Amino acid sequence: MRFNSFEYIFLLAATVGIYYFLPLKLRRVMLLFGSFAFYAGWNAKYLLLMLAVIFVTYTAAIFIVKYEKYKKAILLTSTVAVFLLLFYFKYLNFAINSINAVFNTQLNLLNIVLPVGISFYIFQSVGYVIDVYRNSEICERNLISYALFISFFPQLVAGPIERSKNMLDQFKIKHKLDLENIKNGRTLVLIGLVQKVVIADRLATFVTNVFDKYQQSSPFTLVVAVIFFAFQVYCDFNAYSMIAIGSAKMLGFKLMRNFNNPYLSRSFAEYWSRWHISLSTWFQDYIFTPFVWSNPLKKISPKFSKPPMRTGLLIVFLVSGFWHGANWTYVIWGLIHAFYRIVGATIAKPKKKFYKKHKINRNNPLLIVSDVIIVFALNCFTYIFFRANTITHALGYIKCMFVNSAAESLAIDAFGLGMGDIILSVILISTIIVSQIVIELNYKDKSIDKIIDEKNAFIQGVVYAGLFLAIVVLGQYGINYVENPFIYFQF
Amino acid sequence: MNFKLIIKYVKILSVTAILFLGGLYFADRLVTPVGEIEEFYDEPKNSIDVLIVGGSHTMCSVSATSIYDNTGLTAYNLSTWSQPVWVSYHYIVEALKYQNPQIVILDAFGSFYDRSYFTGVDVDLVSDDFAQLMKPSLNLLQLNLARRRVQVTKKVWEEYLNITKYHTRITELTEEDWQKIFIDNSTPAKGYGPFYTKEDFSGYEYPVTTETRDLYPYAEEYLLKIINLCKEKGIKLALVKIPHIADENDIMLVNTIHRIAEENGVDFLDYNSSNVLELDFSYDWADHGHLNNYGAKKATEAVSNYINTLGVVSEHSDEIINRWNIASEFEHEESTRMEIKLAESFDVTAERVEKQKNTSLILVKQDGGMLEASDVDKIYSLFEGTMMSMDRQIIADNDLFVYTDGSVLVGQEAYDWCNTKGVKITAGSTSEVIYNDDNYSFGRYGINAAMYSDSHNEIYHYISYAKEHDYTPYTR
Repeated sequence: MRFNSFEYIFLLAATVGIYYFLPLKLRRVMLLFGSFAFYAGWNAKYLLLMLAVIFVTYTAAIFIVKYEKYKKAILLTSTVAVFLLLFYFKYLNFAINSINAVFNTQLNLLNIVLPVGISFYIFQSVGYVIDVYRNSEICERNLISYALFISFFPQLVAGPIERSKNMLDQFKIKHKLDLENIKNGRTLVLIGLVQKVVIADRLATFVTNVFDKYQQSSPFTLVVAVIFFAFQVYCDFNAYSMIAIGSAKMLGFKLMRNFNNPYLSRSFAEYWSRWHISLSTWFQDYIFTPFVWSNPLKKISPKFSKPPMRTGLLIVFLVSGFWHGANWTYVIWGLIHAFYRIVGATIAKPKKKFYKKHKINRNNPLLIVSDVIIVFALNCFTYIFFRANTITHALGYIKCMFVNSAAESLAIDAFGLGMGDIILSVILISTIIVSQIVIELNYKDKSIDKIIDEKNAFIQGVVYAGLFLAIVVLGQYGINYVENPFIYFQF
Repeated sequence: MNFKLIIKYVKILSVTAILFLGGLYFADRLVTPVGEIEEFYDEPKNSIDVLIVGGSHTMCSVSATSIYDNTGLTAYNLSTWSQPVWVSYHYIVEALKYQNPQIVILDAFGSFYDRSYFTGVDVDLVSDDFAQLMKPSLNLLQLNLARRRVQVTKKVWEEYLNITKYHTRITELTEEDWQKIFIDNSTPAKGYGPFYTKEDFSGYEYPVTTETRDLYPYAEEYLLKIINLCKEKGIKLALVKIPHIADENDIMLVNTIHRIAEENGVDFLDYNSSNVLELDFSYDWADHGHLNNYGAKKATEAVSNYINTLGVVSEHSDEIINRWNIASEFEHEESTRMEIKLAESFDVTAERVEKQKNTSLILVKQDGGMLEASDVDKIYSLFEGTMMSMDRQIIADNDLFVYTDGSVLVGQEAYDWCNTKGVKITAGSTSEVIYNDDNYSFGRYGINAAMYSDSHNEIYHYISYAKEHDYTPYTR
């Protein structure tokens, strides 16, 4: 069941309608079965897989508390077990392909369908077991609460990847019906839907066609397509997060923020604190920090006594690349980001000194704008690998951006969007940029739903009507339209 | 919850609802191409004597302006593609709010539809779309409920909100789309939309059967509603069955219509059970379902003859009469123009151009050393017997010939005429006819002909009679 479907709107409305009138225990049961039904809407068989992950991690946490002496072994065993599942479903064919390519073998690929959201709920459940291992979280003994924590339908298939300390307690509270929550939640859902069906899906048509026919595209078209893809990914994934957060809010739950105007970042360190925040902090908490502070390299040689920040970054982005998909393109994407982060960390101090020496105000608007543009442009470069089907495809695309070998390039509007659509896309992208700048300058960390809901009734009415109209009038849907699933579903 | 908060929510909801519904209505109108009913609304009140209602069969076969020419009664053809009888009923109800026709001619084919009704799921611009362009009213609501009873293949919003079907047009809107909301959309065609194509059905014979087949009950119900409505309003109703390439099942339904018409004292102009229109099956058809303009002339004449037997008299102001006179002239010009386009040989083209008011014929000879004496002979033969007949030597010596205002201009005189019209000619090795930066020539060796309309200041057609096609007409 997709978020951008009437079925989901119906499920959400029905759940909200019933939820507040049930006693606490029944609420949990209803949410749990609602979540299972939501997941089974994709593939009922894979519901069993999720149940297996729930069972393994739930039991592991209990055993960690019970058999403290063996807690490391239990943690390792359970983590390896669920990661093996992830490996089988997500990486086995990739591994076979890689072996075939390297060793020139003919191993057969397996017929495996990737379960929706597997990386999300496995990371969430592993994070929970690690939290229990660290004693930082009280072990959850109520199976329903725990199962709900893993399968809670708003964030089940594409995050945010929640933490047990944020969520588990919320399942034990009897949320009171608060119309402000419903209103705020509805605002987020509406904005999310606009971002998905009006912007991301519109851009997707053009991006897909240009990436498919990059050899017939002019360098200008290729650049436009990459910029469009940057906004497609952002609007698509941010849309999912907003709908997830909004849906949860309508039920009284608070999910963590997943995006914070990432394309306004002045450095890649800042970018990764604003983009897919739940995954970035997951890597920070469960990979980077433990690695850096335990410093296993010290055991190899005493000269590695300093915390290995750069190696930590490299590992995190390598894992992040693999997490995003079983394709070397994602690995390259991750490595380029690691490179950006390492370079950024390396030049941070000299840069600061340079500014100080030459009395350059770091907050000079021109400097801010140039930083933002540079970070965005470098980020766009990584998107070529993120979007391409193979590394050869990505390299071919980059080559054509500089040297167009095609005798005759197709016009920009020959890639699925007419000139009117392209102009509208540019207007929509500009609207996003301007609104983010306004929010950044005037509201800082306030979420958009709160900003809107603080306005007077008339302005709110205008905004809501505008959002509804945008979906109906400008949305990508219809009889012959092939719907685009959310990009992050595949991860 | 405090009272103030509730008031605030009600305010938000009200503003949202008003702006959303208003915006939706506007956007819906904007993206849907102009519909028949919108054109109809813009006709002056109480200006129509004869209302023709039906589907594509009547739309392309009954010329409202020709009826006016033949009967003196102002007529309007309120037909849309795939229009079932239940839509026709509500169109008539809607029409009667603005007009007081004395005669209604109803397409009987609309009663042939059943649950397998052509829903337009994958076809644009059918009655489903245009019906939604009716002004919001109880009648529109009833029409939607009526359609819902039969057409269950689509989701509700897809059926009643054109925006869900046409929303992709939002980025392709033209100036015309924006204007249509504010301007007079009435057209001189008065709802008539003929076909100017031809399909040969030689050998086809109407099936003969006396058997009947029941109409879909819902269709019969609405047919009877129309009959009763017309009786109630004192309007003379006649059913008409415009010919289509019918099978035996269709004729059984025609027989049923005969029975219903007889039972209810309604005239039925059945042109489909036998060839009463004396149609030429090799010439008068556009496709298996529709007559072309030649067939339409015969059908319109038959309907006009019937109307003349009713002795109805028209009483309208000079302004309204003038509207129909202008429409009639437009229709005549348009139809002759189209017939010129369809002409199969130069002599027929020439004859039609000669008859057509305000049309000049520009003939450019493209030689470039490729034409031999025998080619000049062929061009001479081509022109012979037409108003373009001229001495062989004149043809050999010149490369531009213009027929205008009943006389033929040659050489410099012809160039001067073109200059005054802003038509640039490059004859000789090419045969370009440039007007408003567009080239109206196929650039072939031989004669390239372009038809210039003095009244519309445009070149509306061009044909080549080229050496490579042995001087037979070539066009697109």
